[in-house]
Amino acid sequence: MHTFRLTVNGQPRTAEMHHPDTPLLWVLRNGMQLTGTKYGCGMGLCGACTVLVNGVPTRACVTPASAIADQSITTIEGLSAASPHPVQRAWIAEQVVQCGYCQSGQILSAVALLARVPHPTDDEIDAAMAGNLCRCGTYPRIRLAIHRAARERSGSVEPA
Amino acid sequence: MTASSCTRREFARLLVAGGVGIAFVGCGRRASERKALTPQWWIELHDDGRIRMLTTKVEMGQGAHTGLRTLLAEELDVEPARIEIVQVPSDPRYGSIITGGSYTVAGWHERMRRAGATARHMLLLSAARSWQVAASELATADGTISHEPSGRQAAYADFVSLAAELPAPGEDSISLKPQAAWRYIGKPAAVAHHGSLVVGEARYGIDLHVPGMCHAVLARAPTLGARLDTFDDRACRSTPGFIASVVLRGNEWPSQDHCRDAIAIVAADCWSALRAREALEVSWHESAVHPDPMQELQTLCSRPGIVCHERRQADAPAIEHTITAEFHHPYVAHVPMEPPNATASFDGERMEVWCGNQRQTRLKDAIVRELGMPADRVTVHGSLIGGSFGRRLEVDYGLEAAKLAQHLRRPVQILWTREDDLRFGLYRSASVHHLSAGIGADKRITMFRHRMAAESVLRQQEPAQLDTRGADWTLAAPLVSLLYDIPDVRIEQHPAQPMVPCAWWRGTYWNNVTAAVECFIDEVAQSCDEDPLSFRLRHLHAVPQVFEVDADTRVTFDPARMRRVLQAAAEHADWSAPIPAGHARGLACGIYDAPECHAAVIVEMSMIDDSPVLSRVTVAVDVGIAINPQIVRAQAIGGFVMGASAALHERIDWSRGQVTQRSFADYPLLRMHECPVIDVVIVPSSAGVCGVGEIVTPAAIAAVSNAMSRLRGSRVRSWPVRQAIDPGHPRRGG
Repeated sequence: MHTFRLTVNGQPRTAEMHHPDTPLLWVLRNGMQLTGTKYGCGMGLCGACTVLVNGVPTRACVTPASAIADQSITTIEGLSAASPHPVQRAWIAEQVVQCGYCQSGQILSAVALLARVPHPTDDEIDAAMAGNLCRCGTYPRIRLAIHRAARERSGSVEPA
Repeated sequence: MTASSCTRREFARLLVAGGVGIAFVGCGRRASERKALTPQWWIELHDDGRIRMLTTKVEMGQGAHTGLRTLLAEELDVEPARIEIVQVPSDPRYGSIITGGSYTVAGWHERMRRAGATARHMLLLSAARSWQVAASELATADGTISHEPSGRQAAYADFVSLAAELPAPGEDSISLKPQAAWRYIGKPAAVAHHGSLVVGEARYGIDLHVPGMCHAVLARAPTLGARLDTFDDRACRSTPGFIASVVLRGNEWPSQDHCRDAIAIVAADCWSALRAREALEVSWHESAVHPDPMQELQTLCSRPGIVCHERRQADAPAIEHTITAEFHHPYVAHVPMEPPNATASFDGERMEVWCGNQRQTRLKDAIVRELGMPADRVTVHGSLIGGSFGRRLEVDYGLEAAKLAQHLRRPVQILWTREDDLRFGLYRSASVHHLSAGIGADKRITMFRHRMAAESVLRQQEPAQLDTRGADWTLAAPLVSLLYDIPDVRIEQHPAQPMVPCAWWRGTYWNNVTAAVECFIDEVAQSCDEDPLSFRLRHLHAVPQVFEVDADTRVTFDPARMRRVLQAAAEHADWSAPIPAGHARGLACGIYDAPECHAAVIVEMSMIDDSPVLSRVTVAVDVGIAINPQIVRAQAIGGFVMGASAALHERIDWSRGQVTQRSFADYPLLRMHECPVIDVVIVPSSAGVCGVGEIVTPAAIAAVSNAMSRLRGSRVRSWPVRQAIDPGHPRRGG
């Protein structure tokens, strides 16, 4: 067995996995029961597994957990320790979600965008979000919700 | 949201059979249990204030749970969010479980409202007795009963025990609120599950964890119909985390459940299972199933088909010229973002399956049949679903999990990787269409011919539903629903012999048919040098129609509703304004039977760097009364996005019995940067309650194609559109 020691959502976490090359996705889901991070394609093509590594959106399905042992990982569960993150609030206000499966990844990509570009244009949103697929077609409301979060942000959109 | 007329017909039958007759299911409880008020099994009021809505319907993003709860809350007079939603498992007491055909809200609105009204009525009678006042002097608001003359007020919960002792009121004593009094129906409201979804707490089937559970992936027969020969799992056994390899025998192709021969690789976690599967060596018997389905459909369509509609007016005007066209739709996949998965547990006696599925009863029946288990020892539980679009009307993945659990005797979850999903799934059928139109002196279509060849889901899965001529009524329904008044019409269908596995897919054949017909009508309008909107309005039927699908199926069509929808779309899209240079507009309309609902779609496109770009989209719908306007809007947008994605990008190819595509790299879906603002117009309507899930996609495919045809100056006659032009990178316009 291989022991992974990771910093997830501000907490030190360990997981025992059989393979030292286990991707972060499966360490989170099978090793830590953090199932908010979703499997979508396993090839980094759909964005459903997006987490933040030191604030940078990262595809957990193609990132070996061993490569980020000393870095800060934020998953959807850790985005809002006490109260919903402004982006999550905007997602509710704009009623973005349909089936919801891709939305953890969408939200984390949006959080990273807003940390980098506080008031993104439509084109900047499109460029930042193009890697996150949504089969339900929630794209137009995602755009609205990112603009809303940009307007309503309370000065802190840093990941937890 | 997804599915078919087939499921709708099944549903209609259940509606009659199940009806409102299953009253007081909850009352046969043990005496030690506290009484709950359950005038129907789908509503429970408890004396601790809890109110539960029980439902067989699954939530997969279509908003079914929110819609049903709104209807219940309206008549019960309770804030909807206070009602807990409970997904019931397969159990004979709930009847045959199926979610589909865009029929959930349309099929249940009356029953949900009546259940709420009945419970409220019984609570009022109880309060009147306790307070010794006339029930007519009582009022309710958000779970509270008040008596204004005496100033008394109490919560519903206080009267639950008393009300539960009352006999069921007669049907006639229950009246529903008039529309003017609605507080929740038709008003903006929160959508169920949103709170838990945005914080990652919602649990889909794939998130289920059962103590002692292991994980499995399957190595399936790569070629359709191939049977397992030999395999060598020695390398798997030395892969860390490996637990077992299990042979799962599939069905001969074609089969109603479409399970392939497979070897399940069971491991401690998903990654170990995937690694061990890579190490497996398998040889498969050569399969004789090497269809060339597109060629076969083309050949089929060159021969006369089964006539499903024919009319010839004796004095039909003379034809001045004839236009013919052939259209080819590809196979397309569902690719829900949550890939197929299922969890099963067998303790030697009882089988439990947890599975995001729309037909729990079909899955249960398949398990009973295939595993030889007694029906009362099999339970299928539903779960929140990460998208379906028809994929989860199929039971293959649930059946695989049950077979594996029976062998392992420990809980196991099987995962379909995305590659598994694209290669080994079931697909919306491809189709070939021959269309011709005769144009008369006044540029009116006087003759119309449509012959379609496609694979038949019914022929594959429920052949008893074909008529004596071999006709498939689910193909006939969209084919005979011709919106235009033409004196000389003949429509033929060719339901092909099973070639590759096919399934229902968000509107299924309405997509193939509406896209072909609406593209053709657009071409005819163009050839007549007439505006495609005025051409359609001029040709729409003048009076309501009842299209005869088969001996006992009809589709109704009210052209006045379609006129309003077309005109609303045109107005919002500034149809009469000049088109910007380098842009083109495309228009299409369509109906869907859930029951009768209408859509019109207008698309504006341009080419940027040789790539088609959607710059503006307007969708107008008449879906009767919009129970939750925000969900209607979301479904209209989602329906458009799926149609645009299919039109521009999607195609499944078959080569020697295998699917060519592997991932989102070669099966691209529409992405954020390609998706413009989509303006949705909900045309006010009093035409009952209709389902919204499947109405927009067919017209969307056609409207995008019609815009493309005008943009590039040649007609779109095969899909996806982008494959016919260039491999550039499309963008959203602004």
